[in-house]
Amino acid sequence: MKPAAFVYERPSSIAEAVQLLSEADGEAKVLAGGQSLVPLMAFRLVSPSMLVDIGAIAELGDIDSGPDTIRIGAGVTHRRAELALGPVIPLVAVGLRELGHVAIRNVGTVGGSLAHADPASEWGALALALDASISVTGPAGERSVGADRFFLDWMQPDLMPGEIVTGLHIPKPSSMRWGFVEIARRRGDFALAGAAVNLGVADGVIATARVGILGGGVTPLRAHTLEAALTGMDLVGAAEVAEAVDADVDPLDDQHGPARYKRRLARVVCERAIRQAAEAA
Amino acid sequence: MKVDLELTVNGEAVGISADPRTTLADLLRDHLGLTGTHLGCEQGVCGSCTVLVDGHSARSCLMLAAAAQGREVTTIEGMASESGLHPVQEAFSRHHALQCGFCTPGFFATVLEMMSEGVLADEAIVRERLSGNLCRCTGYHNIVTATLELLGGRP
Ligand SMILES: Cc1cc2nc3c(=O)[nH]c(=O)nc-3n(C[C@H](O)[C@H](O)[C@H](O)COP(=O)(O)OP(=O)(O)OC[C@H]3O[C@@H](n4cnc5c(N)ncnc54)[C@H](O)[C@@H]3O)c2cc1C
Ligand code: FES
Ligand code: FES
Repeated sequence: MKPAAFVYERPSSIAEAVQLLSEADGEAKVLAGGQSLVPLMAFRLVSPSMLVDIGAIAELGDIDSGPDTIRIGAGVTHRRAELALGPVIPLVAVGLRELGHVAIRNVGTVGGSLAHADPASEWGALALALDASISVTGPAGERSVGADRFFLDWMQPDLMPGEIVTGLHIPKPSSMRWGFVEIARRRGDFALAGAAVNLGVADGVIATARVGILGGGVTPLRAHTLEAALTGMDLVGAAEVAEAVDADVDPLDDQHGPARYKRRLARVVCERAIRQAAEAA
Repeated sequence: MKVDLELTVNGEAVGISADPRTTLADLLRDHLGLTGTHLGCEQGVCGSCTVLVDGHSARSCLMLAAAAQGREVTTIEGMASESGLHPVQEAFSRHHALQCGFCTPGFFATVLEMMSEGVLADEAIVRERLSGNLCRCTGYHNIVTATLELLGGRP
């Protein structure tokens, strides 16, 4: 249960971090909060030759609220985001309360969650439901990727060697109805299934729908079929179409249950999250 | 290659050089002799290694000592004073909120953070906040009672 030896670097700028990573030829890994990486290293599932700790890079630690978007620096902890965004986008705060425990959220970071790309990541589902984009800096410069193109495959984010996630940009919703529901075996565990629902409603009718699913497949995913089914429906009673999510998910069999059970859970969390959105005052 | 670290532990400045793979828990236990911080699972799940870093609860098994550079760490050894036990220790003792004591230092860190945040003395909230700390002895009931009392609710 102890990590293998590595070289430790603690750069103070993004440019320096990118340089260290590119010079190290893919053998180096970014260390953010370490809440996923350190256990993987302790189990020796990964043994990087170098860790580039981005914890001292001040420019990654900001939350900027502009007129249209909120930018959350990659180094912002889950807990800080939860507390800061609560009044602005309550969906984020409510979703993050399901992420591990306070002691995990005090240290784990937004960028670390996105880069880790766990299929049960709350950040993944929230980013998808909120139409957020992810900014990335690497040897070739900066780029921005929509959340719905960022999660490529099982624990595989759209990151090239030497690239680091620098922030998450969330468009400020003018008005939204939202719901967040997840089911986990114990409080703080990774979810078996979860749904983040973001509805734009005009005159009681759903004009726009975005649904992010966690635990529904190999990545956090968008429920396109369910979104289409919801669009144009009366908000009241919309939860009835939750089973449309069947076409969007492809859960995996694992030690927590068979795929068909998780498929069923996906329906349940969507139904409850849509109802939550409909019932909110 | 070792890294040179400077941090504060229980109010005292510590300068030490350590292998970068040393976790904060191992630094505390093996290098500084502060064995009150207990290691159960070493994967972030059990909560027994929880300490305060800059006043916030953190798993010392998941934080590299190197990442604690310049920070202020509080462990169980920093709680009691010359004048006696800390109120959290008093309350846990009074309510029989510990048996073997293995999990207790981690619970104290969690409870101290709740007290400093002014968390509401509400049983549901308290149970949720304590859910990241596992205790195999007590059944939690007395821990919840002690915590509610510390937060100003009626025990
Ligand atoms: C008990 C426990 C319960 C948990 N429960 C949940 C849960 O319910 N839901 C959930 O989503 N997570 C959960 N987690 C994981 C937690 O969210 C982590 O904080 C998160 O997955 C990783 O963030 P980190 O900052 O700790 O990243 P690290 O662990 O430091 O890094 C994770 C990975 O991302 C890479 N990386 C980190 N930052 C960047 C960056 N800026 N750019 C590029 N690559 C980067 C690292 O190289 C590594 O591969 C849990 C963890 C524990 C220990
Ligand atoms: S030893 Fe750190 S959480 Fe179990
Ligand atoms: S008192 Fe024994 S594990 Fe909690």
